[in-house]
Amino acid sequence: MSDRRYSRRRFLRDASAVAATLGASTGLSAAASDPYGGWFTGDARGAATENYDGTTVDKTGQDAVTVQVGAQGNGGSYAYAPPAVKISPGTEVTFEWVSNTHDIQVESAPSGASWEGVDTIENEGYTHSHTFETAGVYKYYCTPHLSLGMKGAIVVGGSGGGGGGSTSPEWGEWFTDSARGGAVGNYDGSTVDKTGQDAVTVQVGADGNGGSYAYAPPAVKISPGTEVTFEWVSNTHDIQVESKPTGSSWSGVSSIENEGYTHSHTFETSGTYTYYCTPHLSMGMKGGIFVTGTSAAGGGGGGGGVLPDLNWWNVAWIAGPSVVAIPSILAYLLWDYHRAGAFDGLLGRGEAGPPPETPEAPPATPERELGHDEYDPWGTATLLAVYFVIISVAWALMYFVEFLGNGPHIFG
Amino acid sequence: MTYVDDFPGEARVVRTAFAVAFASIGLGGALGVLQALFRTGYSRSLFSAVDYYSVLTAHGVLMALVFTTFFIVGLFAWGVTRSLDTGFRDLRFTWGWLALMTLGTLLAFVSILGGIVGFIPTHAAVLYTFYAPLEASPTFYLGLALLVVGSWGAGVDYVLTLRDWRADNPDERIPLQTFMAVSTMLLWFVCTLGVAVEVVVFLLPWSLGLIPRVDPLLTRTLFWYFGHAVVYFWLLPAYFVWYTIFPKLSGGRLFSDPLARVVFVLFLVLSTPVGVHHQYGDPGLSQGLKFVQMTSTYFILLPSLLTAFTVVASMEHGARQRGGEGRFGWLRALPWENPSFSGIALAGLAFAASGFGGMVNAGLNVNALVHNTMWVPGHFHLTVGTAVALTFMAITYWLLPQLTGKRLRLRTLAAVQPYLWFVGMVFMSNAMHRIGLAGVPRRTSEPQYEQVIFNTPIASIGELHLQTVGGAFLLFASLLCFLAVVGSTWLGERGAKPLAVNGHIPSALSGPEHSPRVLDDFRVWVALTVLLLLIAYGPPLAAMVQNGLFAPGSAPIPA
Repeated sequence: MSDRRYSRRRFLRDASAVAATLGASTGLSAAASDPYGGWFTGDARGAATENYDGTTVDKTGQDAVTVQVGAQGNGGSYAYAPPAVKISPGTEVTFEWVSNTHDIQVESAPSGASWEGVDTIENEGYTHSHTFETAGVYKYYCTPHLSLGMKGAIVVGGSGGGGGGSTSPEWGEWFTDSARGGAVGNYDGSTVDKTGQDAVTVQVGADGNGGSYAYAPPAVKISPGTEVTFEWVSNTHDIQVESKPTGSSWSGVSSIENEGYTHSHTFETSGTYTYYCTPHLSMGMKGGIFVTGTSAAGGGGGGGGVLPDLNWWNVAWIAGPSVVAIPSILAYLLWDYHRAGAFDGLLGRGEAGPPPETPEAPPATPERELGHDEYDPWGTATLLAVYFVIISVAWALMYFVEFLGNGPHIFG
Repeated sequence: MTYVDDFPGEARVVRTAFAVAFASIGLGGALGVLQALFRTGYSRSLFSAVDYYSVLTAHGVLMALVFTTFFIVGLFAWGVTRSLDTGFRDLRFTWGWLALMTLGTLLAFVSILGGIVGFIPTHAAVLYTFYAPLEASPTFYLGLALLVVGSWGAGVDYVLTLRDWRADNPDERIPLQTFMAVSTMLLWFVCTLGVAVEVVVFLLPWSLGLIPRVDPLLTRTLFWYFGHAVVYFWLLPAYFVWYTIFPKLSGGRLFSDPLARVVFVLFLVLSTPVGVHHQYGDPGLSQGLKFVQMTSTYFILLPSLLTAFTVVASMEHGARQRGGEGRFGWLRALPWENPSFSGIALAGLAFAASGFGGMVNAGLNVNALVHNTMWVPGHFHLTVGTAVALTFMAITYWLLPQLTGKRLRLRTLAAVQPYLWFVGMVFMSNAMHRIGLAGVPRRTSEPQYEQVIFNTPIASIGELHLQTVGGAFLLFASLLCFLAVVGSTWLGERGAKPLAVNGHIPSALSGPEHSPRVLDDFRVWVALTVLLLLIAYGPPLAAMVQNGLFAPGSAPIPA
């Protein structure tokens, strides 16, 4: 029953998408160092969440996502796995209990969101599903194991419906063999989300692509202002910049370097960066960095419609019963009138005559007639006096004993 | 000749309204039993603790809004046309408002059902007191709005019929039944204005997403502007029965017609500026305002105490005419075997008891003892759930034969039914009051908390829960008896046997000629009502609007 808020939610989602687009286009990026405001640290409610390593698993674009409840972590089976996950609006998240005595208390949710978590303590085998529509950050925790750090978060990103594109990377065909060089074997289609972190490391010459010919991770997403350190872990690699956003000063590493070499750069300009290794390009040693345009919390969408779209289901729901009910009532009335002969005059019939008259009981005659002046209601006066005595006693009891005494007191 | 022979078209309207009312009390009653079983912990497997609130909403809306309103518009349609001896102007208009009410009811009910049934994409677990921040699907609010607008049509119908009658009878006093029906509907117009603004201006646009937020205090205040007056909209039709039909059922005549008119005028004037006594626990309203409305709440005890005197005196008059003697002995001379009589008498007794509970609720300090506890549902199950509902059921035994031309059947079952209801309610309501005194909250599916033990001076919470459930089952059994009697009577053959009742209503011992004519001038009383409302509600509502209509704490919007 929590999933049935349609138009209002959609309205809010679109409104936030508009706001995010505006924010991005005017360059008002508010890069937060932690998208969760310290939620996974010991500064927030409960202990620090040990199974949160600073990465948000990016599951955007998937229809269904699973989060385990009571997975191993935090010193026992006290973890949500993954603790932080990013999804697109409209994704159904299924929470699967894999151990006993956990619940999901919602710590915070974007305004307009309807998710209420799971209030009751549930055991292994229990599942809870919710389709997240409203963009923003949802934080939740497990009541019994909060002090052990059993906390989680879900980031619902923008709808990504074309147009904006400022929060999702545009790799194009860079990682395939349609682009310069070979296909990137160690790229599995996912972009590692490192948004909100101050420093990120990319290994150069890691295992992959048929030898030590890989950047690891090959595709990474960061917030503006993040310092990326490239660490050479094998020999004879460089970093040639294939493409970068206009205004960026990054020029890569044009000399061939060996194990132990490092190169750092702080990425400020939003956009997509692609690079490759000159000696091993044909093996598929390519990489990419995407710098988000807005706050890493992903509070907004990257496009979508500007106007709230009319929810036809909603309209049909209001109109449907009317369409059914009004004709049914009318049909019934017509039929009922017809049966009662109301149209007989119109139709030229009607010799049947009215229904038989109903005889009533004769009016009762009183045993003795008491007029206005012969009757004094003494019995009434007596009853009312008794009533006033009763309610006075009851009032005294209620006021002096129950209220002023303020406890379970009746004669006790 | 009975009512259905004189006014066949109007009789059909009244029957249709009653049919909706009885269907909703049957369904609502069944849900009530489920709720009692869940809350007391006897059975929690039928639905979840979350769905409990949808069940609770359905029970409250079906009983307190649908059953009452449909029965009332039917009862008044009968009373107005009977006492004026004239049909409605245009039955197409009459059917129009009834159809609108029915459509609204269906929409609201299906919206609530959506909270329990998966394939209906709505929800409305907002309880009968449907104010923010709880939010329902737009269809729920739309349905309630249609129900209210339809009932306004009923009021317009009565007023127009009265105007036509007055044009033909310029020098006559308004017949008492029409006077009561019209003053009750005027009260309804005044008080539903608050809930109409709440729903149409705030909740409906909010649920549709047209406005981002509403001010909870403002919408609560608008709800309670309606929320206490509505109980008099339920109660006054019961008083209508007590004043105009009950004396005849007792075998006597109404003691005083002028007193009855004064009582209804007092209710029209005083019913609405008392709603803040439901908000004693609300921050944001000043103590001064709460104190003022407490005072007006205690004023409204006056017309009910006048009623206690007049109605009991009329009953005693009947007993004495039937040969009753003595200070208490006359009570034995009353027709206790007649379900119409016994039902109303027991309803009156329940109301006397609940009047005391109401005095506790209304006290600004003592209220803290029972505020939002189980005491409050215990209270209103005695008032609307017995004083009103039992009266309506009892008078159905008298009225239905006249509306259908069919003699009442299953009369033994009918004779038992009011006693069963009364005993069931004594158990259930008494237990609920005492559970509330122990501090157990209302509107809670599972009222149990770690580290909290509810203490009761006598018996235990467990025993009180048993009494609650036992009472609920007795009530449901009584309800089934009622529906069986109504159903089998309805299916009977028209005109087969002479009716056991007649529609003759004897004149009052002291007639309207003993009262000033200004009592019949509704313009004066409506003007006085509006003046009192401006005093009672003008300053607080103005302050809330100043504080930001859609965004509390901001500058007024629109500026």
